[in-house]
Amino acid sequence: MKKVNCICIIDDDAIYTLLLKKMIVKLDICDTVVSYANGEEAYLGFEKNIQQNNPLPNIVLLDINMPIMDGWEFMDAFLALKPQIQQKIAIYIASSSITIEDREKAASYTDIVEYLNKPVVTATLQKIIQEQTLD
Amino acid sequence: MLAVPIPSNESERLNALSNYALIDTAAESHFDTLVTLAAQICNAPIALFSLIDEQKQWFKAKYGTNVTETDRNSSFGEYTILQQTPLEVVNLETDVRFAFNPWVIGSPFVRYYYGIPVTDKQGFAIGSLCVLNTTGIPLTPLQKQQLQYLKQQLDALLELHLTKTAAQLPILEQPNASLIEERQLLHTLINNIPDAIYIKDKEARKTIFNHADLAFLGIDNVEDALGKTDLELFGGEKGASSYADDMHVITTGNAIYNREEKIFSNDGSNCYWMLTSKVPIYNTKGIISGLVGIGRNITEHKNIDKILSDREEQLHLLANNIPNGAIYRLLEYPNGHLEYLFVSNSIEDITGIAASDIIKDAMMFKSKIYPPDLPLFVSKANEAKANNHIFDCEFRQYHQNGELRWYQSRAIPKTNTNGEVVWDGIFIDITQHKLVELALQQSENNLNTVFENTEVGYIFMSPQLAFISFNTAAIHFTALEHTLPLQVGENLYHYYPKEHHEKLTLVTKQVLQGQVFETDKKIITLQGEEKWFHIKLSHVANRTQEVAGILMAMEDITTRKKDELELKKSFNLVNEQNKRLLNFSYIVSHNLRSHTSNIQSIAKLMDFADSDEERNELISHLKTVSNALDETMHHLNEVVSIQNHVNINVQSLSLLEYIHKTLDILKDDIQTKNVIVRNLVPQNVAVLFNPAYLESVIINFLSNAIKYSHPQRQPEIELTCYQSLEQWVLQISDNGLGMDLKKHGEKLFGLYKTFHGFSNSRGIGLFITKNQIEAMGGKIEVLSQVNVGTTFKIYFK
Repeated sequence: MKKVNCICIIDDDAIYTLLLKKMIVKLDICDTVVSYANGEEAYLGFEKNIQQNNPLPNIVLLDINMPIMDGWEFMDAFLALKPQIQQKIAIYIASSSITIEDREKAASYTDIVEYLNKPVVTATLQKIIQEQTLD
Repeated sequence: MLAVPIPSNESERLNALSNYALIDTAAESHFDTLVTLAAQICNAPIALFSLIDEQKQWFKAKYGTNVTETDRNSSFGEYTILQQTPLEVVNLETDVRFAFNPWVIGSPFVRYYYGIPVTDKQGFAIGSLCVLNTTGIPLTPLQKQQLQYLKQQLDALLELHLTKTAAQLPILEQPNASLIEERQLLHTLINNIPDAIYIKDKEARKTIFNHADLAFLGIDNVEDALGKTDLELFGGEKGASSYADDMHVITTGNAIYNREEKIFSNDGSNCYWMLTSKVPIYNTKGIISGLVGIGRNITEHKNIDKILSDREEQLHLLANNIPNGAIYRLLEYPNGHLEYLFVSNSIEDITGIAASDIIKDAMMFKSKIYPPDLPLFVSKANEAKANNHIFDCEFRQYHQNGELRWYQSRAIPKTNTNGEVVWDGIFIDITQHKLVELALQQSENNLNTVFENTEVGYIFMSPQLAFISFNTAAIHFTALEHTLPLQVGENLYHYYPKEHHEKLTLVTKQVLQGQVFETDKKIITLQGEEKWFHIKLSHVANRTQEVAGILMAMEDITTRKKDELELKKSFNLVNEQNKRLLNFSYIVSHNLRSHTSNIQSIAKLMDFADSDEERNELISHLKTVSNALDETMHHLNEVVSIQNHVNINVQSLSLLEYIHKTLDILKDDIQTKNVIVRNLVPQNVAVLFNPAYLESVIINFLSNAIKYSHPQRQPEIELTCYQSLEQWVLQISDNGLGMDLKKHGEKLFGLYKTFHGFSNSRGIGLFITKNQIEAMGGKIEVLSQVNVGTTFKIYFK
């Protein structure tokens, strides 16, 4: 099984984050898993890594409905940071929202690879890894 | 001049004179010779043998003058015959009898007179033999003697004349003086009358004719007509026919009287009408010797006759061809009896009664007038008569066929000296016109009824917005808002404040150009009531498309407007409800699904669990998820119950009481965080609310204010209450963290929205609170600034 360096989970649902982390570890598809409880924490974490020249995650699983800074606000903040980022980051939306508006909004961001519905199952994670390790 | 004295024996003297029959006779040489001798003997320029008639002095013989006679007053001889001896006047100029004699004061300016009276055998003086000179030198005695001898010679001549006259009288048939005079008069008369008069002999040749006849013939010289027949004078057909007439009269003796003849002039350019009479003349033996004719030019009469007859015909045509009308002349006797002197035949067309029947019985015609209209008719007639002005009356009258029709009669009364009144008038059938008029009036009345009874107020104004007319509804509406009553001549500008005049002028201009202006206007009545009116201004054009004015329609739409506002409100409510439903769907899709997906994940992980320890850990997670799911279900229950309980128990509650209660519940938190609470809500404020909701709402806002207080300053909370548009507003302000409403405004009252990252933020409070307030018919507003504070305004119904 191919692996990536780092997968990042941005979600305010602590149980979900915990369970997803367990699943990723079990599948052994990455070296490290990081998580943030909302968009603001994630943004600050990214910013800090850039400043310290630490690597950023290869894959991001981003929730939309979060307090303080939601998924969309994070996307806008991330785009502001992007000129400073050298490596490729694949962002996947993982939300329990099934509204068509959110899907359409996700499609308008070129940096968002795909819109995923919760729960994210093992098959989905395996497919993502395959896509992101092709080259 | 003195009047000449008349001799005492005048009648005998005149008789004597007439015996000689000398007056107006032709000159005779022996008398002439005698006066010539007298002049020569006496060396006088004038010598005369004069006879004194009843009126004049006539010279039988004269020398030195052409005058044949003078009037008696101007005669010298008159004085001579008064005496038996000669009369000598030496200085005529100084003699009172002759000083003013025409011959003395004028030509030949005689100065001396010597006359010897001439008498008949009986001694009656008939005249004088006299001489006159201009030198005034008297005759010598010898001359006087010689003149006396000549006078004796004259006596002899007269004696001879008398004898001769007596002998010749029966044979000569000499016309006497009066006959001559008569002839001369006749002659003058004949030549001066305009009628052509002529006498023809028995061969129809013209022998005598007057100037008019010549002029009629177009001939200048008498000789050209004398002895000619009409055949020769006229020639052609006219000549032949006229000649035949002449010969008919002459041969048969049948006269032609007053025959009208049309005669063309010889060149044919003119045409005359002649009235001709030809009567035969009989001689003493009873045989026709010719005819006398008279012709009168009646062309002018004829023309006038023609004009008159044409006119009469035109008048007749006119009288009988007045459309729907007839003319009449009515005679009203002082006793009230009526008689039609004339009625056009056309009366039959409009009344069905023949003109002749009306003329026969005027009272019958009058009896046809519709009785209710008779008093007006009579009073108008009397008024016209009394004031001598035109009678004009519209009335109904029965047609011969029984139909009731409308007529108009107009007439001028003329009262004559007998007290009779002559009415010259015209009688017209106005039924059609009247029916149209009545129909119009009816429709106008109908319109007026509609206009007056409509609930829409109408004001008709001039282009300058001066009121022309309006209906009752308009008066009523105006009185609601204005103390200035609606009246004709008042101007719309006076009902608007000055600052609106410019707008009004602009609108007026647009309306006059054909636009329709419509608006809904809210007014506050004088009683302070709020009312809504729909105002519509449109222009009104007359038949020639000119703008006659502006029509303002006002409709009370208060009920409609209120319904509309109510509808808008309920639409907003539905909209809100819709949003809540949408939120609900989020809850279902997001919150419930996130729990179920977690349960799925746990189940999946259980399969992969390597140890009991791991499995126990997962089960403990499952419990957490299960609790969270239960809490979410509980919240949903709460939301659904608010949504469902539309008719929930509502009471009048003291706002202050509930605030006190809440502050008591939260007193531990307030003490812990050292919060300053300023409660400025007055005591008397009562709101209609569900008790449980009110407690929940106040707790929610106050606990939020405490929870999200700023860490770097002492928390302050202020509660105030005020009225806005009859609604109580509770305002809760804090100096806490505040929120970025640009970012979160829309989501603020959404379910499960949290903004501060606190672990115990559930994102449920504001959602529930909002639902509760709205369920009670109120609303909620928020003002907030990050790091400054937040103010919530709760509007109670």
